[in-house]
Amino acid sequence: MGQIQAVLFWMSGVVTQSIPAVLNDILQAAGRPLVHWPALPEFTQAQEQFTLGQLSDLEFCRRLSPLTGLEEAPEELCQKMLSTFAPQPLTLELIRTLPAVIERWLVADLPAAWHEALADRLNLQSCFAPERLVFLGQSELPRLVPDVYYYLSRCAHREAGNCLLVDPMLRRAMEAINHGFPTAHYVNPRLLKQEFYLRGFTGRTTLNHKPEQVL
Amino acid sequence: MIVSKQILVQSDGRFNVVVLTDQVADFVRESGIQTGQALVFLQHTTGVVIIEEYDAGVLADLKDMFERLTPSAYPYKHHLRGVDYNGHAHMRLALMQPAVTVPVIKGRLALGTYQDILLIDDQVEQQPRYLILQVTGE
Repeated sequence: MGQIQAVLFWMSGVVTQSIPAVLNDILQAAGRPLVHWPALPEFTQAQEQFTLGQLSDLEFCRRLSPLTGLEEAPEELCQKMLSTFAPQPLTLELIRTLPAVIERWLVADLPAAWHEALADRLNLQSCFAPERLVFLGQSELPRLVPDVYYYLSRCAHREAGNCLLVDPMLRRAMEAINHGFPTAHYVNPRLLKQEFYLRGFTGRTTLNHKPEQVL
Repeated sequence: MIVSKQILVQSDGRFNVVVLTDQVADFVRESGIQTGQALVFLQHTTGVVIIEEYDAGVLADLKDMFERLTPSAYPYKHHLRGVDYNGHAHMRLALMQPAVTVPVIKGRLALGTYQDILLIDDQVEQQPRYLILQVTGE
C-alpha cells in the first residue's frame, strides 16, 4: 500500500446529506412515514442509474414518486430535493483540516446542474477546487462497482494505492477494499476524524493505543 | 438503579453493520448513572453485537472469516424446516453472541480509544431490528 496522496470524497452521504436522508426529510415534512430506502431494490437500481447519468433527474424523480407515496409531479420532487439537500458542516470542517500535500477530490454522484445549484449554497468551493471534481454522470461507465474505483484513480492521475476513497456505503467500501483500493466507510465526523488521525493525515506522530485514564 | 430502553434499528441485513456507540453513549449520559455497566442486547438470532475498531478493512476481513467458517451457501439443517434460509446467520450468532457489556465510569462508557459498539445484522432480508439498552449502577 503506497503513501496516500489524494482523498476522494463521495458527495451525497459524505459531504452532503444522502439521497435517502433528503427523501426522508421531505416525507417527514409532509407527515408521511419514513422509508428505509437502501432496502428497496427499485430505489437502489434507480439511484445507480442516476449516479451514472443513465437517468435524467426528471426520470429519476418519476421513478421515486410512487415509492414516496407523495402526489408531487417529478418536477416538483426534483425542486424539493434540491432545496432540501443540507451540507454535513462538521465533515466539511474536517476536510479543510487535511494538509495541503493531500489532494482533496469530490466525487459528484449528482448531475452537474444539481452540483452547480448546491455548490454555492453549501460552500463546497471552500473544500474542493473546480479542477478536482469528478462527475460520475459524465463517466459513461456501464456499472458502478467495481468500474468506478479504477475510473476514480485514473481521474485523480494516481495509482489506486495512493488514493483513499471515503464512501458512505459499507458494501461498496468493502468491495473497493477487496479490489485493492484503500477505502474508509463514512459513518460520522467522529470516525472520519479517527481515520484521518490513524492514517497520519492530522496530528499524529506516534500511535497511542493507551485508553483514556478514567479511574 | 437500572434504566432500560428498547431501540429500533432499520437494517437491510446481509452483513449490514450499524455503529451503535454514540446512541449508547447518549443513553448512558441521559440515565444519570455514574458508575456501573451498560448492556447492549440484540433481541434476534440472526445478528451479533461486538466491540471492534470501525474500519472497512476490519469489516471486510470479518466478513471473509464468517464466509470461511459459516458459508452463506451451505445446506444447513435449519433450512429443512422450510421457514427461512439463514442458517449461516444463526451459526455466526453462536460464534459471536448477541450482547456486549461496557463499564460505565464517571457517567461515560469506558471504551478504549479505537473501540466501537457494532451491530452486525446478517438476516437475509430487510427486517426491523430491536435492541435493549440497559444501564445498571448508581
